[in-house]
Amino acid sequence: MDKRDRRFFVVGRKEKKPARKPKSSPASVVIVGAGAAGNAAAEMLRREGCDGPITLIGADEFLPYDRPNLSKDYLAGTAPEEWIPLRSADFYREQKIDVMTKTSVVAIDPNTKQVTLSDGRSLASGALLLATGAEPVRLEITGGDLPHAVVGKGSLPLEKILGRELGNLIRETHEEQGVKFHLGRTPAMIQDRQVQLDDGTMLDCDLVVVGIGVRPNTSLAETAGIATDDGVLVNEFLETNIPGIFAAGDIARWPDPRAGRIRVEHWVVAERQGQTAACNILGAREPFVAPPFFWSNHFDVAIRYVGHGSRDDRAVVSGDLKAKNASVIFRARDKLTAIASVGRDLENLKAEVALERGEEFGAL
Amino acid sequence: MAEASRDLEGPDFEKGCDIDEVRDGGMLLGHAFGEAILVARQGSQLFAIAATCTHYGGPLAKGLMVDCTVRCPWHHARFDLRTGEAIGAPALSDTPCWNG
Repeated sequence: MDKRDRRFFVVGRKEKKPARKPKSSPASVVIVGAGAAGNAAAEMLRREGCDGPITLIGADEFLPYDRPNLSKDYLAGTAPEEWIPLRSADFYREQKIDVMTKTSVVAIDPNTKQVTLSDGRSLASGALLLATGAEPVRLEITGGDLPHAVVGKGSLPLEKILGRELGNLIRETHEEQGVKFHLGRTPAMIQDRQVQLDDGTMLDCDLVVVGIGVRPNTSLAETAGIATDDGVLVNEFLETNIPGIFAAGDIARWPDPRAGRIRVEHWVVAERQGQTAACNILGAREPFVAPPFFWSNHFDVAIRYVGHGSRDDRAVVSGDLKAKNASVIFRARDKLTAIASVGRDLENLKAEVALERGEEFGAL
Repeated sequence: MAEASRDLEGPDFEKGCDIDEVRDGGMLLGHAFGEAILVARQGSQLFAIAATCTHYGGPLAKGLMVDCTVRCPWHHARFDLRTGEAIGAPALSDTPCWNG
Protein backbone atom coordinates (compact mmCIF):
# COMPACT_ATOMS: atom_id res chain seq x y z
CA MET A 1 0.00 0.00 0.00
CA ASP A 2 1.23 3.48 -0.86
CA LYS A 3 0.23 6.74 0.68
CA ARG A 4 0.53 10.09 -1.03
CA ASP A 5 -0.86 13.23 0.56
CA ARG A 6 -4.30 12.22 1.81
CA ARG A 7 -4.69 9.36 -0.66
CA PHE A 8 -3.81 5.69 -0.46
CA PHE A 9 -3.20 3.15 -3.24
CA VAL A 10 -3.24 -0.61 -2.99
CA VAL A 11 -0.10 -1.78 -4.79
CA GLY A 12 2.10 -4.84 -4.20
CA ARG A 13 0.81 -7.94 -2.51
CA LYS A 14 2.82 -8.99 0.54
CA GLU A 15 3.78 -12.66 0.26
CA LYS A 16 6.22 -13.34 3.06
CA LYS A 17 5.27 -13.71 6.67
CA PRO A 18 7.94 -13.61 9.34
CA ALA A 19 8.81 -17.03 10.82
CA ARG A 20 7.88 -17.51 14.45
CA LYS A 21 9.91 -19.02 17.20
CA PRO A 22 8.03 -20.65 20.05
CA LYS A 23 8.91 -20.19 23.73
CA SER A 24 9.59 -23.89 24.03
CA SER A 25 9.20 -26.84 21.69
CA PRO A 26 8.71 -30.47 22.75
CA ALA A 27 10.78 -33.15 21.00
CA SER A 28 7.62 -34.36 19.27
CA VAL A 29 3.88 -33.92 19.46
CA VAL A 30 1.31 -36.70 19.12
CA ILE A 31 -2.31 -35.71 18.52
CA VAL A 32 -4.90 -38.38 19.24
CA GLY A 33 -7.93 -37.74 17.04
CA ALA A 34 -7.99 -36.16 13.56
CA GLY A 35 -11.21 -34.18 13.81
CA ALA A 36 -11.72 -30.41 14.15
CA ALA A 37 -9.54 -29.97 17.25
CA GLY A 38 -6.76 -32.31 16.18
CA ASN A 39 -6.39 -30.86 12.72
CA ALA A 40 -6.48 -27.22 13.90
CA ALA A 41 -3.87 -28.04 16.54
CA ALA A 42 -1.51 -29.67 14.06
CA GLU A 43 -1.74 -26.66 11.75
CA MET A 44 -1.23 -24.17 14.56
CA LEU A 45 1.81 -26.02 15.89
CA ARG A 46 3.57 -25.52 12.54
CA ARG A 47 2.31 -21.94 12.21
CA GLU A 48 3.81 -21.11 15.60
CA GLY A 49 7.17 -22.56 14.58
CA CYS A 50 7.14 -26.03 16.12
CA ASP A 51 9.86 -27.88 14.20
CA GLY A 52 9.73 -31.39 15.68
CA PRO A 53 7.70 -34.33 14.38
CA ILE A 54 3.91 -33.95 14.54
CA THR A 55 1.74 -37.04 14.27
CA LEU A 56 -2.01 -36.78 13.82
CA ILE A 57 -3.78 -40.08 14.51
CA GLY A 58 -7.35 -40.73 13.38
CA ALA A 59 -9.55 -43.82 13.25
CA ASP A 60 -11.34 -42.54 10.13
CA GLU A 61 -10.23 -43.77 6.73
CA PHE A 62 -10.14 -40.18 5.39
CA LEU A 63 -7.92 -37.20 5.99
CA PRO A 64 -9.55 -34.55 8.25
CA TYR A 65 -12.75 -33.26 6.70
CA ASP A 66 -15.34 -30.50 7.11
CA ARG A 67 -18.00 -32.22 9.15
CA PRO A 68 -20.50 -29.32 9.48
CA ASN A 69 -20.73 -29.28 5.71
CA LEU A 70 -21.89 -32.89 5.61
CA SER A 71 -25.17 -32.11 7.32
CA LYS A 72 -25.58 -28.67 5.70
CA ASP A 73 -24.57 -27.61 2.17
CA TYR A 74 -23.21 -30.98 1.07
CA LEU A 75 -26.36 -32.79 2.17
CA ALA A 76 -28.48 -30.09 0.51
CA GLY A 77 -26.50 -30.61 -2.69
CA THR A 78 -25.07 -27.08 -2.76
CA ALA A 79 -21.48 -28.01 -1.93
CA PRO A 80 -19.41 -30.28 -4.19
CA GLU A 81 -17.45 -33.18 -2.78
CA GLU A 82 -14.14 -31.36 -3.36
CA TRP A 83 -15.02 -28.94 -0.55
CA ILE A 84 -15.25 -31.65 2.07
CA PRO A 85 -11.57 -32.38 2.88
CA LEU A 86 -10.11 -29.63 5.09
CA ARG A 87 -6.71 -30.03 3.46
CA SER A 88 -5.07 -32.03 0.71
CA ALA A 89 -2.57 -34.83 1.22
CA ASP A 90 0.02 -32.44 -0.27
CA PHE A 91 -0.68 -29.91 2.45
CA TYR A 92 0.15 -32.37 5.22
CA ARG A 93 3.24 -33.51 3.32
CA GLU A 94 4.47 -29.91 2.89
CA GLN A 95 3.75 -29.12 6.53
CA LYS A 96 5.48 -32.32 7.62
CA ILE A 97 2.41 -33.43 9.53
CA ASP A 98 2.26 -37.20 9.61
CA VAL A 99 -1.40 -38.18 9.41
CA MET A 100 -2.17 -41.78 10.35
CA THR A 101 -5.62 -42.75 9.11
CA LYS A 102 -7.50 -45.91 10.14
CA THR A 103 -5.43 -45.94 13.30
CA SER A 104 -6.45 -45.50 16.90
CA VAL A 105 -4.56 -45.18 20.13
CA VAL A 106 -5.31 -48.02 22.53
CA ALA A 107 -3.17 -46.97 25.50
CA ILE A 108 -1.21 -44.03 26.91
CA ASP A 109 1.61 -44.28 29.39
CA PRO A 110 1.07 -41.21 31.59
CA ASN A 111 4.70 -41.17 32.76
CA THR A 112 6.52 -41.39 29.45
CA LYS A 113 3.61 -40.12 27.29
CA GLN A 114 4.28 -43.03 24.96
CA VAL A 115 1.20 -44.17 23.05
CA THR A 116 0.32 -47.67 21.86
CA LEU A 117 -1.38 -47.86 18.50
CA SER A 118 -4.12 -50.23 17.32
CA ASP A 119 -1.63 -51.97 15.06
CA GLY A 120 0.58 -52.79 18.04
CA ARG A 121 3.26 -50.20 17.40
CA SER A 122 4.29 -47.60 19.99
CA LEU A 123 5.06 -43.97 19.47
CA ALA A 124 7.07 -41.67 21.72
CA SER A 125 5.74 -38.19 22.36
CA GLY A 126 7.13 -35.10 24.04
CA ALA A 127 3.67 -33.61 24.37
CA LEU A 128 0.30 -35.20 23.82
CA LEU A 129 -3.03 -33.73 22.76
CA LEU A 130 -6.18 -35.75 23.32
CA ALA A 131 -8.84 -34.83 20.79
CA THR A 132 -10.79 -38.07 20.62
CA GLY A 133 -14.17 -36.40 20.10
CA ALA A 134 -17.48 -38.04 20.80
CA GLU A 135 -19.44 -41.07 19.73
CA PRO A 136 -23.14 -41.00 18.78
CA VAL A 137 -25.49 -42.45 21.37
CA ARG A 138 -27.18 -45.54 19.92
CA LEU A 139 -30.88 -46.10 20.10
CA GLU A 140 -31.41 -49.15 22.26
CA ILE A 141 -34.82 -50.31 21.16
CA THR A 142 -36.01 -53.14 18.97
CA GLY A 143 -34.81 -52.36 15.48
CA GLY A 144 -32.48 -49.60 16.68
CA ASP A 145 -29.61 -51.45 15.07
CA LEU A 146 -31.20 -51.61 11.61
CA PRO A 147 -29.12 -49.81 9.03
CA HIS A 148 -29.95 -46.13 8.69
CA ALA A 149 -32.22 -46.12 11.53
CA VAL A 150 -35.46 -38.65 12.80
CA VAL A 151 -35.89 -39.30 16.34
CA GLY A 152 -35.32 -36.44 18.68
CA LYS A 153 -35.45 -36.53 22.42
CA GLY A 154 -37.43 -34.51 24.93
CA SER A 155 -40.59 -32.52 24.52
CA LEU A 156 -39.30 -29.10 23.55
CA PRO A 157 -35.71 -29.53 22.47
CA LEU A 158 -35.47 -26.32 20.46
CA GLU A 159 -36.98 -24.19 23.19
CA LYS A 160 -34.44 -25.28 25.74
CA ILE A 161 -31.50 -24.05 23.74
CA LEU A 162 -32.96 -21.16 21.76
CA GLY A 163 -35.74 -19.83 24.00
CA ARG A 164 -39.46 -20.19 23.34
CA GLU A 165 -39.86 -17.62 20.56
CA LEU A 166 -36.92 -18.66 18.43
CA GLY A 167 -37.60 -22.32 19.13
CA ASN A 168 -41.12 -21.80 17.77
CA LEU A 169 -39.83 -20.02 14.68
CA ILE A 170 -37.57 -22.94 13.90
CA ARG A 171 -40.37 -25.42 14.47
CA GLU A 172 -42.77 -23.44 12.25
CA THR A 173 -40.11 -23.12 9.56
CA HIS A 174 -39.80 -26.89 9.45
CA GLU A 175 -43.56 -27.41 9.60
CA GLU A 176 -44.05 -25.09 6.61
CA GLN A 177 -41.75 -27.42 4.72
CA GLY A 178 -43.81 -30.46 5.62
CA VAL A 179 -41.91 -31.70 8.67
CA LYS A 180 -44.16 -33.25 11.33
CA PHE A 181 -43.02 -33.16 14.94
CA HIS A 182 -44.02 -35.75 17.53
CA LEU A 183 -42.79 -33.95 20.60
CA GLY A 184 -42.93 -35.65 23.96
CA ARG A 185 -43.00 -39.07 22.29
CA THR A 186 -40.28 -41.68 22.12
CA PRO A 187 -39.87 -44.44 19.56
CA ALA A 188 -40.78 -47.86 20.90
CA MET A 189 -39.81 -49.99 17.95
CA ILE A 190 -38.31 -49.67 14.49
CA GLN A 191 -39.40 -52.08 11.79
CA ASP A 192 -38.80 -52.24 8.10
CA ARG A 193 -40.15 -48.91 6.76
CA GLN A 194 -42.07 -48.16 9.96
CA VAL A 195 -41.45 -46.63 13.35
CA GLN A 196 -43.82 -47.24 16.25
CA LEU A 197 -44.00 -44.53 18.90
CA ASP A 198 -44.66 -45.15 22.59
CA ASP A 199 -48.31 -44.10 22.20
CA GLY A 200 -48.81 -46.72 19.48
CA THR A 201 -48.70 -44.32 16.51
CA MET A 202 -47.16 -45.93 13.44
CA LEU A 203 -45.04 -43.75 11.14
CA ASP A 204 -44.11 -44.84 7.64
CA CYS A 205 -40.59 -44.03 6.57
CA ASP A 206 -37.78 -44.98 4.24
CA LEU A 207 -35.04 -43.71 6.45
CA VAL A 208 -34.63 -43.16 10.16
CA VAL A 209 -32.05 -40.68 11.42
CA VAL A 210 -31.21 -40.99 15.08
CA GLY A 211 -30.09 -37.74 16.68
CA ILE A 212 -30.06 -38.38 20.39
CA GLY A 213 -26.73 -36.87 21.21
CA VAL A 214 -23.18 -38.00 21.65
CA ARG A 215 -20.97 -39.23 24.43
CA PRO A 216 -17.38 -38.01 24.84
CA ASN A 217 -14.71 -40.63 24.15
CA THR A 218 -12.91 -40.45 27.47
CA SER A 219 -12.04 -44.09 28.15
CA LEU A 220 -8.48 -43.76 26.81
CA ALA A 221 -7.84 -40.86 29.20
CA GLU A 222 -9.55 -42.62 32.12
CA THR A 223 -7.47 -45.74 31.70
CA ALA A 224 -4.32 -43.62 31.68
CA GLY A 225 -5.30 -42.08 35.02
CA ILE A 226 -6.19 -38.67 33.61
CA ALA A 227 -8.88 -36.87 35.63
CA THR A 228 -12.34 -37.01 34.02
CA ASP A 229 -15.88 -35.99 34.96
CA ASP A 230 -18.23 -36.21 31.98
CA GLY A 231 -15.25 -35.20 29.86
CA VAL A 232 -11.54 -34.81 30.37
CA LEU A 233 -10.89 -32.14 33.00
CA VAL A 234 -8.50 -29.43 31.86
CA ASN A 235 -7.34 -26.11 33.28
CA GLU A 236 -7.67 -22.74 31.51
CA PHE A 237 -4.66 -23.68 29.38
CA LEU A 238 -6.42 -26.88 28.29
CA GLU A 239 -3.85 -29.03 30.11
CA THR A 240 -4.99 -32.11 32.02
CA ASN A 241 -3.86 -33.07 35.52
CA ILE A 242 -0.83 -34.70 33.87
CA PRO A 243 1.65 -32.03 32.72
CA GLY A 244 2.33 -32.21 28.99
CA ILE A 245 -0.98 -33.93 28.23
CA PHE A 246 -3.63 -31.58 26.83
CA ALA A 247 -7.23 -32.11 25.74
CA ALA A 248 -9.41 -30.18 23.27
CA GLY A 249 -12.76 -30.40 21.53
CA ASP A 250 -15.81 -32.49 22.43
CA ILE A 251 -14.00 -34.32 25.26
CA ALA A 252 -12.62 -31.27 27.09
CA ARG A 253 -14.35 -29.88 30.19
CA TRP A 254 -12.74 -26.48 30.75
CA PRO A 255 -13.24 -23.51 33.09
CA ASP A 256 -15.04 -20.93 30.93
CA PRO A 257 -14.50 -17.47 32.46
CA ARG A 258 -18.26 -16.75 32.33
CA ALA A 259 -20.12 -20.06 32.54
CA GLY A 260 -17.79 -22.06 34.79
CA ARG A 261 -16.77 -25.63 33.94
CA ILE A 262 -18.42 -26.63 30.69
CA ARG A 263 -18.04 -29.09 27.88
CA VAL A 264 -19.27 -28.09 24.42
CA GLU A 265 -19.74 -30.21 21.32
CA HIS A 266 -19.37 -27.63 18.58
CA TRP A 267 -17.06 -27.41 15.58
CA VAL A 268 -15.69 -23.88 16.04
CA VAL A 269 -15.08 -24.44 19.76
CA ALA A 270 -13.17 -27.61 18.97
CA GLU A 271 -11.02 -25.93 16.34
CA ARG A 272 -10.25 -22.96 18.57
CA GLN A 273 -9.38 -25.21 21.48
CA GLY A 274 -7.07 -27.16 19.21
CA GLN A 275 -5.39 -23.89 18.27
CA THR A 276 -5.03 -22.72 21.89
CA ALA A 277 -3.79 -26.12 23.04
CA ALA A 278 -1.15 -26.00 20.26
CA CYS A 279 0.07 -22.59 21.45
CA ASN A 280 0.24 -23.87 25.04
CA ILE A 281 2.11 -27.03 24.03
CA LEU A 282 4.69 -24.49 22.83
CA GLY A 283 4.73 -22.69 26.16
CA ALA A 284 2.47 -19.74 25.36
CA ARG A 285 0.41 -20.03 28.59
CA GLU A 286 -2.61 -18.62 26.77
CA PRO A 287 -5.92 -19.19 28.57
CA PHE A 288 -8.88 -20.36 26.49
CA VAL A 289 -11.38 -17.52 26.89
CA ALA A 290 -13.31 -17.42 23.59
CA PRO A 291 -17.08 -17.52 24.15
CA PRO A 292 -18.48 -20.70 22.56
CA PHE A 293 -19.98 -20.17 19.11
CA PHE A 294 -22.09 -22.29 16.80
CA TRP A 295 -24.21 -21.82 13.72
CA SER A 296 -27.23 -23.75 12.59
CA ASN A 297 -29.16 -23.62 9.31
CA HIS A 298 -32.87 -24.42 8.99
CA PHE A 299 -34.10 -23.88 5.43
CA ASP A 300 -33.77 -20.09 5.01
CA VAL A 301 -33.15 -19.40 8.70
CA ALA A 302 -29.48 -19.17 9.70
CA ILE A 303 -28.87 -18.96 13.43
CA ARG A 304 -25.67 -17.68 15.01
CA TYR A 305 -25.31 -18.43 18.70
CA VAL A 306 -22.52 -17.09 20.90
CA GLY A 307 -22.01 -17.60 24.61
CA HIS A 308 -23.31 -20.29 26.89
CA GLY A 309 -26.85 -19.84 28.17
CA SER A 310 -28.72 -22.11 30.48
CA ARG A 311 -32.42 -22.93 30.46
CA ASP A 312 -32.95 -20.83 33.59
CA ASP A 313 -31.72 -17.69 31.88
CA ARG A 314 -34.09 -14.87 31.06
CA ALA A 315 -34.59 -14.63 27.29
CA VAL A 316 -35.55 -11.30 25.73
CA VAL A 317 -36.32 -10.93 22.03
CA SER A 318 -35.00 -7.84 20.29
CA GLY A 319 -36.28 -7.21 16.77
CA ASP A 320 -38.80 -8.99 14.57
CA LEU A 321 -38.50 -12.76 14.62
CA LYS A 322 -41.23 -13.28 12.02
CA ALA A 323 -39.29 -11.05 9.64
CA LYS A 324 -36.23 -13.18 10.47
CA ASN A 325 -34.40 -10.16 11.80
CA ALA A 326 -33.97 -10.53 15.53
CA SER A 327 -31.78 -11.62 18.39
CA VAL A 328 -32.69 -13.49 21.53
CA ILE A 329 -30.59 -12.17 24.39
CA PHE A 330 -30.04 -14.48 27.35
CA ARG A 331 -29.20 -13.12 30.77
CA ALA A 332 -28.60 -14.72 34.15
CA ARG A 333 -29.57 -12.16 36.76
CA ASP A 334 -28.54 -9.09 34.78
CA LYS A 335 -25.47 -10.52 33.16
CA LEU A 336 -25.31 -11.39 29.47
CA THR A 337 -24.76 -15.14 29.00
CA ALA A 338 -25.56 -15.75 25.34
CA ILE A 339 -27.21 -14.35 22.24
CA ALA A 340 -28.88 -16.18 19.37
CA SER A 341 -29.35 -14.13 16.20
CA VAL A 342 -31.25 -14.50 12.95
CA GLY A 343 -30.41 -12.00 10.20
CA ARG A 344 -28.31 -9.96 12.62
CA ASP A 345 -24.80 -11.18 12.13
CA LEU A 346 -23.09 -7.96 13.15
CA GLU A 347 -25.08 -7.79 16.38
CA ASN A 348 -23.98 -11.33 17.17
CA LEU A 349 -20.34 -10.34 16.71
CA LYS A 350 -20.81 -7.30 18.96
CA ALA A 351 -22.30 -9.53 21.63
CA GLU A 352 -19.29 -11.81 21.34
CA VAL A 353 -17.01 -8.87 22.12
CA ALA A 354 -19.25 -7.78 25.02
CA LEU A 355 -19.04 -11.32 26.44
CA GLU A 356 -15.26 -11.33 26.14
CA ARG A 357 -14.92 -7.98 27.84
CA GLY A 358 -17.60 -8.58 30.45
CA GLU A 359 -19.41 -5.51 29.18
CA GLU A 360 -23.11 -4.71 29.17
CA PHE A 361 -24.79 -5.32 25.87
CA GLY A 362 -27.57 -3.24 24.39
CA ALA A 363 -29.22 -4.71 21.31
CA LEU A 364 -29.36 -2.61 18.16
CA MET B 1 -17.46 -20.10 -1.92
CA ALA B 2 -17.86 -16.66 -3.41
CA GLU B 3 -16.13 -15.73 -6.60
CA ALA B 4 -14.11 -12.69 -5.77
CA SER B 5 -13.77 -11.39 -9.29
CA ARG B 6 -17.50 -11.05 -9.86
CA ASP B 7 -19.52 -8.00 -8.92
CA LEU B 8 -16.73 -5.93 -7.46
CA GLU B 9 -18.05 -3.13 -5.29
CA GLY B 10 -16.72 0.16 -4.00
CA PRO B 11 -13.71 2.23 -5.05
CA ASP B 12 -10.86 0.97 -7.22
CA PHE B 13 -7.95 1.08 -4.79
CA GLU B 14 -5.41 0.81 -7.63
CA LYS B 15 -6.54 4.28 -8.72
CA GLY B 16 -6.26 5.54 -5.17
CA CYS B 17 -8.77 6.56 -2.57
CA ASP B 18 -9.09 9.44 -0.15
CA ILE B 19 -7.94 8.43 3.36
CA ASP B 20 -10.91 10.23 4.86
CA GLU B 21 -13.20 7.77 3.09
CA VAL B 22 -12.20 5.28 5.80
CA ARG B 23 -13.09 6.44 9.27
CA ASP B 24 -10.79 5.71 12.20
CA GLY B 25 -11.59 2.21 13.50
CA GLY B 26 -13.68 1.52 10.40
CA MET B 27 -13.48 -0.52 7.22
CA LEU B 28 -14.14 0.15 3.54
CA LEU B 29 -14.86 -2.41 0.83
CA GLY B 30 -13.29 -1.79 -2.56
CA HIS B 31 -11.20 -3.68 -5.08
CA ALA B 32 -7.86 -3.90 -6.84
CA PHE B 33 -6.34 -6.35 -9.30
CA GLY B 34 -9.76 -7.91 -9.85
CA GLU B 35 -10.17 -8.85 -6.21
CA ALA B 36 -12.44 -7.58 -3.45
CA ILE B 37 -10.26 -5.80 -0.92
CA LEU B 38 -10.96 -4.56 2.56
CA VAL B 39 -9.19 -1.46 3.77
CA ALA B 40 -9.26 -0.80 7.49
CA ARG B 41 -7.98 2.17 9.43
CA GLN B 42 -6.53 2.38 12.91
CA GLY B 43 -5.44 5.96 13.63
CA SER B 44 -2.96 6.88 10.91
CA GLN B 45 -2.42 3.20 9.99
CA LEU B 46 -4.16 1.64 7.00
CA PHE B 47 -4.44 -2.09 6.31
CA ALA B 48 -5.49 -3.87 3.11
CA ILE B 49 -6.46 -7.54 3.04
CA ALA B 50 -8.66 -9.65 0.74
CA ALA B 51 -12.29 -9.07 1.70
CA THR B 52 -13.41 -12.68 1.53
CA CYS B 53 -13.28 -15.14 4.41
CA THR B 54 -11.21 -18.22 3.60
CA HIS B 55 -13.67 -20.45 5.47
CA TYR B 56 -16.90 -20.26 3.43
CA GLY B 57 -16.36 -16.98 1.60
CA GLY B 58 -18.14 -14.68 4.05
CA PRO B 59 -18.01 -10.90 3.41
CA LEU B 60 -15.44 -9.53 5.87
CA ALA B 61 -16.52 -5.93 5.20
CA LYS B 62 -19.84 -6.78 6.88
CA GLY B 63 -18.00 -8.14 9.90
CA LEU B 64 -16.62 -6.43 12.96
CA MET B 65 -13.26 -4.74 13.36
CA VAL B 66 -11.78 -5.29 16.81
CA ASP B 67 -8.42 -3.57 17.34
CA CYS B 68 -6.19 -4.79 14.49
CA THR B 69 -8.42 -7.75 13.63
CA VAL B 70 -11.58 -8.39 11.66
CA ARG B 71 -14.20 -11.04 12.48
CA CYS B 72 -16.30 -12.66 9.79
CA PRO B 73 -20.08 -12.13 10.14
CA TRP B 74 -20.91 -15.69 9.12
CA HIS B 75 -19.03 -17.96 11.49
CA HIS B 76 -16.87 -15.57 13.54
CA ALA B 77 -13.50 -16.48 12.00
CA ARG B 78 -10.78 -13.95 12.80
CA PHE B 79 -8.08 -12.37 10.66
CA ASP B 80 -5.16 -10.14 11.58
CA LEU B 81 -5.54 -6.98 9.50
CA ARG B 82 -1.79 -6.38 9.60
CA THR B 83 -0.85 -9.71 8.00
CA GLY B 84 -4.03 -11.32 6.66
CA GLU B 85 -3.32 -14.23 8.95
CA ALA B 86 -6.21 -16.47 9.97
CA ILE B 87 -5.87 -16.16 13.75
CA GLY B 88 -9.11 -17.78 14.83
CA ALA B 89 -11.10 -20.74 13.50
CA PRO B 90 -13.14 -21.70 11.57
CA ALA B 91 -10.88 -20.09 8.95
CA LEU B 92 -7.62 -22.02 8.71
CA SER B 93 -6.01 -20.33 5.69
CA ASP B 94 -4.63 -16.80 5.58
CA THR B 95 -6.20 -14.21 3.36
CA PRO B 96 -3.96 -12.24 0.94
CA CYS B 97 -2.51 -9.04 2.28
CA TRP B 98 -1.42 -5.83 0.57
CA ASN B 99 0.12 -3.92 3.45
CA GLY B 100 3.37 -2.11 2.72
